[in-house]
Amino acid sequence: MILVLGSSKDSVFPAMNQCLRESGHPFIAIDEDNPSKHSVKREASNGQSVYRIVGDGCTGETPVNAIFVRHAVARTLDTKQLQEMGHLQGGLNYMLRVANCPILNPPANALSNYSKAYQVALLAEAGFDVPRSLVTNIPEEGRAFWEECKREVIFKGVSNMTTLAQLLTEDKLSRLDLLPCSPTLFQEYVAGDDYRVHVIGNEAFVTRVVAENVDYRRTSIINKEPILVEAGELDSDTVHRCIAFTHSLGLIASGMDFKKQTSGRLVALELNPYPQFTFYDRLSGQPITRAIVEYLIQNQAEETNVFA
Amino acid sequence: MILVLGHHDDSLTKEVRNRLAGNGREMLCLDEQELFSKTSFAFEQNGTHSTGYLRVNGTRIGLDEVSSVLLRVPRMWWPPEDLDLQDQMFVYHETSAAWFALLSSFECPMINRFDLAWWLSDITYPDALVHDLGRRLKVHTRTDSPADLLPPRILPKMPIPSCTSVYVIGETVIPRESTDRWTGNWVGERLPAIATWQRENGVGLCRLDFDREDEELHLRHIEIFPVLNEEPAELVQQIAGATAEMLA
Repeated sequence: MILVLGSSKDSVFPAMNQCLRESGHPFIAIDEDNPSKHSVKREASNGQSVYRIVGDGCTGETPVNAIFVRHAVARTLDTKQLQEMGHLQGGLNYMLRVANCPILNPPANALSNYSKAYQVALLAEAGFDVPRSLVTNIPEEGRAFWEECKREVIFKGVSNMTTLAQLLTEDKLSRLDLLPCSPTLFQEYVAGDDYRVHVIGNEAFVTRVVAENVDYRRTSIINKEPILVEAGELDSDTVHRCIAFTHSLGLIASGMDFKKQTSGRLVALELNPYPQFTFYDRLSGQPITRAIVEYLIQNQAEETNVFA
Repeated sequence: MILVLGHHDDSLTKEVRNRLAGNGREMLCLDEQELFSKTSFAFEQNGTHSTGYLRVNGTRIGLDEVSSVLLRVPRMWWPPEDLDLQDQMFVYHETSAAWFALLSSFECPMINRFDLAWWLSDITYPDALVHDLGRRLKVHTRTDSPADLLPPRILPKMPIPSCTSVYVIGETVIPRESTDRWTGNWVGERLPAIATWQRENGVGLCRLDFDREDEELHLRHIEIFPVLNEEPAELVQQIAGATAEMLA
């Protein structure tokens, strides 16, 4: 049986559940946005921890042979709701640390994109071409970097808090004065088409995205303007490096972002351990969600220490 | 230049500072508030190469001038309250993520080179450390069952009275009490395995707590941010001495 952990307020969780339903494979879905319905219990058995999820139809008796997780994010500042969600996710994370079945993806291995600047260093070490980057809280350093990069610089958040990349244009320079309040990540602007590589096990889907804005999410989601999303191609070395890098982090799947200049230079921007892959398969027609479901079905553990 | 990042009332930080100062070592000492709120920095990455500097009270210190780091920030810092809660959370994470990247770029000795799981206060991380080291030392582990009310963050644990405990600083093993000597010898015999674990987890300083049944040890807890304020002065001095030696 496959266990799906996620959020009903997110597009991935319902899509995964729908795809699993269509596959006919047994699964249990736990909506972390309703955290009070479930609890996680730990037992010791022959020196091994056994975890049982109970509540809302989960008896804690059905073996879980593979797990898909994309934790719900807090969409509220309500303390009670946050505590309930934190409690459930904390219990699940203890379970996911020691579960001996495939987990796509283990939260403990999915931390590197918390710091985009740190991840850029990891990408560079793995042999990817990365943009020249500056993290600073000093206004004059932001400005000097802008000049050094021929006034072609984007800025975005350093952490994984959602921010959209923006071009640092002359009219935005006065905002550099706010830097002492919060450090910011500046990167040389790499013009070109976006490429998203979804890695799933040893398979990869390459998607090309063409949009007006430097951050295609702004074009599509905020400005509601059309973007082109289609199956793309990258050289096999790059694809293999994406797969190897994903695995080196202890992940089964990822969504890696690139910019490709007309000169052919391919620049790696970041790796997302919990990609919003439904966006890409909906617009490109690539069967990414189905590939994830297939991976989970085909890679189930015979013995497990998780029951739901 | 040794970077000492810790609070003035933290007895380990204080003692390490005294020793380094006594040896004439050049230091930059900042507490958490000074580090996250008052230190200006620029950190640039170009491929695998990184450069940058810190600016404190008008003094500029190149990142390549830093020869070692004592990192003892208790992660209690929070952005100013004149920001609304959402902005506070944003600034908190941006600041943490920026400093994590900067500190990660140091190739010099750092005690401790905390994992992102610690920075993010992943409450499952302490148990994971126990299971990892337990496997390497081939000892049983005995972690507490997650409490009904899980703590919201990782908090340092004081030594468990029923446990036998040793401090490990690099290759130095210091029994916490005289009754812990047997455990100290046992740990000392396993230093090669511990060294590998230290290197892979960035833990140069920790306290290992074991349950002891006759001559069998069960690893119970690893404290990677041991608070020594209630430990005897002589023990603090021993630990600080070993720590200062690693930093010097």
